[in-house]
Amino acid sequence: MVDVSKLINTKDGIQSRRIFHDQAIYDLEMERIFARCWLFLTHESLIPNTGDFITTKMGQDNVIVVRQQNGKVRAFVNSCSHRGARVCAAEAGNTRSFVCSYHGWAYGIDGSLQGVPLEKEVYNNQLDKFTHGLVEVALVDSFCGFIYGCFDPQAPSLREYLGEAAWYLEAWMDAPGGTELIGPPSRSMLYCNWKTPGENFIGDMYHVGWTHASSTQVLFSQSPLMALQGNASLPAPAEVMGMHFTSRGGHGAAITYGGRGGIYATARENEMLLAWLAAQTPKVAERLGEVRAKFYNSAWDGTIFPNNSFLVGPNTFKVWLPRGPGAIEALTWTWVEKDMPKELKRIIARNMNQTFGTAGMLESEDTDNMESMTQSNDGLVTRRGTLNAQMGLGREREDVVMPGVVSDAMINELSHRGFYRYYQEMLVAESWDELRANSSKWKKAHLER
Amino acid sequence: MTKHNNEREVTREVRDEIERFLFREARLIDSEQEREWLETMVDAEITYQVFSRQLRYRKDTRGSGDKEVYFFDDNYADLAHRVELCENGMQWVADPPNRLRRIVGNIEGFEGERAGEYRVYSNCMVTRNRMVYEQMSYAYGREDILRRGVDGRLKLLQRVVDFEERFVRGKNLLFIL
Ligand code: FES
Ligand SMILES: [Fe+2]
Repeated sequence: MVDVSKLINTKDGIQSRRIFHDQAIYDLEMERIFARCWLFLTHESLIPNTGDFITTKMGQDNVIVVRQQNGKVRAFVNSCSHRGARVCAAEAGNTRSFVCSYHGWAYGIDGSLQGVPLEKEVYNNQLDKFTHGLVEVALVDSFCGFIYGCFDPQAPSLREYLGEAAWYLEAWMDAPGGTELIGPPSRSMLYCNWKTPGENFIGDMYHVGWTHASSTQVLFSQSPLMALQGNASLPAPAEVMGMHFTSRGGHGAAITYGGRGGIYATARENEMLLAWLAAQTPKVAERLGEVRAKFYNSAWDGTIFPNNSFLVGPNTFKVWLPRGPGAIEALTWTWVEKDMPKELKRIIARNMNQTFGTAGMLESEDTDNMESMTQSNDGLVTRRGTLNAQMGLGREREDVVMPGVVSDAMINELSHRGFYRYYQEMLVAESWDELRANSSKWKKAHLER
Repeated sequence: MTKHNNEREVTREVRDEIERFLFREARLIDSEQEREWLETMVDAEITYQVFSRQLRYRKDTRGSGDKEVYFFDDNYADLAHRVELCENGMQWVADPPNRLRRIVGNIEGFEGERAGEYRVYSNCMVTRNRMVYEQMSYAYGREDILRRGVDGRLKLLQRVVDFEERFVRGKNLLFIL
């Protein structure tokens, strides 16, 4: 086993290539990251009623997320306490119980074992039903309607876990009237390591003009993002274009000022969104202040550690479910603001699917990069090397309004460095107490030169 | 697939015409002649939809939310964008070229709701070879409406694909289905 404390050098922006390849590292990721971090499950809007449920995965564990009688949401491992078969085969729906398809044990939506066929006859009434409920996910909570779960009861609260990132996320997640996901998700297989899309979405604005040279030209003609097309020159100093942030928990984003509008195919569609944003902006400014009102009108790409990414502009919301070191399942939703007119919601969903859905023009352009940067490390000599995320080194700073560590350079790898800083810390730390102990000094790794 | 009662089969002559249409379409798409396909075979009023259905229990009628997600929900302008993308010389994902090969079968043609329109069912098997090592296959059924234009030629007015593979192992559907 490699020394995991040597995989990442945050100060110099260097990462070992083994993080995209080694099975032993992957196994440790499952244990130290996916069994301990808050992971995205679903959105309040997709399971509004008692008995509404969805099934998904946390790491490689199958879980059921279900709305209880009292309105709370709980989550359970989707595996029968008898012989381990799946108790729910559907992806979503509404139910009063989950009945195992193997021998028919029946569980309530609260996870308790309610019915055992022929209980008297075959168990002689000796089976303790009380201790045979479904295994429960320790923590479930939501932030602005987005529901996350965590297997580790020692973990900090969701709010604390999001940390400084919560302040930023509110700029779009906490839109006036709230946000919602349009379900169901698309589901597709990508042959890459789970961190490669995460680091791409966390703030890689460098690739937009190059990887997406073709589709930005065809689709984004009226967007400020068009300025990036071809990576030939930058129209304004990078300072004017946007900013980058990273946070204690490795979450981060790149924010391109004024970039939220102008990406739709027709002028009428673009005007409709811009009119909506213009009407909402004063309300956002009043509730969240001028800085976040500016963010509300911006294009974002961001990742919530470890495997949940989003865009503002093409309103995609994604989870990258790991399936071994070299494969993931990508789940993709469209997010919209609840109060938007129906037609605008449809325009946004159409655009999201055309750009970042399963037949999305930008999605497929990204996929090749994520796969080849994973697969190249199958080579022994290749993976002895390191990777470079040094862009913007030395331009990090703290700000009086914006929390975390920020940079005024929008094309930057600060958020990559933050992601991998926390990644290594999670792999190394034995406990949440150890992680908490580092919390007062995390910024040093970025700021001290 | 939509269930239609009292469907009237088209004449043998029209049946042959429909078959020639679908075979020509397959050949154009598979040989990177997307523009020719768009301009000579696609009606300006086209609706082109491919959707995936969330898996729910048969008896479950109470579950919340939409059950479908639309991979394609395109009109003519959207399809034109996809064609432009293939042509602007910067689509790295198609360079070296991808190779598509499709088999179109189980073709059935019926008189449509309006005169000069035909409801056409077909099944497709597509294999996509790309880069050195990738090979992906897709199987799906199509429900089309073809409309006869003023010039007497058939054009694609509507295509609906209820895509069955819920978890798309072939990564993406970035091709004309
Ligand atoms: S495994 Fe579930 S009832 Fe036997
Ligand atoms: Fe991208």
